[in-house]
Amino acid sequence: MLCAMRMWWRHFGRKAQASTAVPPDDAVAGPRTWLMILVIVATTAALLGTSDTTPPSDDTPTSQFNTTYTFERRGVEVGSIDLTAEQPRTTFYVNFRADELFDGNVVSTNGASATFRAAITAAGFSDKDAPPYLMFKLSAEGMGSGTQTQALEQYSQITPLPFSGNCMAPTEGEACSTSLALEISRTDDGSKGGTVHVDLLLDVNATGMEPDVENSTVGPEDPPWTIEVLQ
Amino acid sequence: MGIFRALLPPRLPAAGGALLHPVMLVSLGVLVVNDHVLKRCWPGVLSGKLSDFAVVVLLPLFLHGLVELAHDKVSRPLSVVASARWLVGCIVLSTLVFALPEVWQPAELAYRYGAAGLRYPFQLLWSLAQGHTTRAFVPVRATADITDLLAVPMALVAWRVGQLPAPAAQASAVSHST
Repeated sequence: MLCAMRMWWRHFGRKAQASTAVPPDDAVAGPRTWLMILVIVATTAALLGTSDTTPPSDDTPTSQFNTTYTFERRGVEVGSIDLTAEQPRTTFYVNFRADELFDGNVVSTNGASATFRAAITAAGFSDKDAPPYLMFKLSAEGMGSGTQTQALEQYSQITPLPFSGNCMAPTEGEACSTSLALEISRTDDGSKGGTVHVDLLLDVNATGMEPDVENSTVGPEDPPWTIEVLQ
Repeated sequence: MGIFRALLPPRLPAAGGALLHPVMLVSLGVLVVNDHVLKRCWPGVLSGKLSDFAVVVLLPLFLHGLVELAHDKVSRPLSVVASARWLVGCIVLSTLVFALPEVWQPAELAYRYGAAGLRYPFQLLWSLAQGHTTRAFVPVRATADITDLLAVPMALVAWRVGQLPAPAAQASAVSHST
């Protein structure tokens, strides 16, 4: 290795010497300029990137301070649906997957929660036949039968997101994920006719924490998650 | 002294020539490999210090190389004396940037936010390229450790490598290195 570098240096030195004796547009100047640009770019990247990857060494005391991160994504469109006599119920399945650590080192799934928000509008009902209530049944993966709520004009329900998998290192091993199912049904089972329109949105929140030399907060930031809706 | 000279051949006389010196390239390689491989795979005292040693050599030579190239572009190449003065300035500045955060908390805070500020435009561009709209401004991590100052003498290596050969020596610099 050292021998090869020495040979390279000799070779380069001869060219450099030659280049000082001839005009700078000599063919030697080109490769050297490009090499210098390459070294400058690589050194810039190496110097800028050197601090972030430094893990706290084992012999340093554990920090009593933390940087707290808040994560938030609002107004995720889950979908719209018309509930009619022919289709009085539907179910939305929402899959959440944490794809990576935030900023490369912060777990983004602590205390994660999701809030469903629905705006309900009814059409095609007579004055004496009031629009039916909708039944919202929300259940999370592995969380039993879930909660049921009736709503007429608006619906809002918050639920924890029980992420599981390799959430400390989402890019390795089992995916860090969870899923929710939201079943919406007309309580009249469609017998009153008409149409009940539902616009469904979703907000998600979570926090993360990292040891630091002082207490500070960062965010709200967009969580590094993929949210997928199936119906 | 002979061994010292053999290990540290003179730099190329051209502007920014120290950027292509083997010591500079080895330091760059050590920094990259240590930060991205050794610290993750074999964390410990050695990997904790290697980057410090590399940075103390790399940073002043890098700054000095940029100064030489810029001066060469806008007017004319730096004289040997002017180059040496700039080299001293770069070494002093780099040593302060490296050493002060280890011993003085305000400097550590300034370093954490300063380094993060320099990185942020690149991180933001990377985030935008990945389809994200925003990027958090997060100060870089820094762990004050006075034993990191063991790397400061490496600035002498930067001084040796960065010096522009005297005109009389320039002609024979290459033949000496062979």
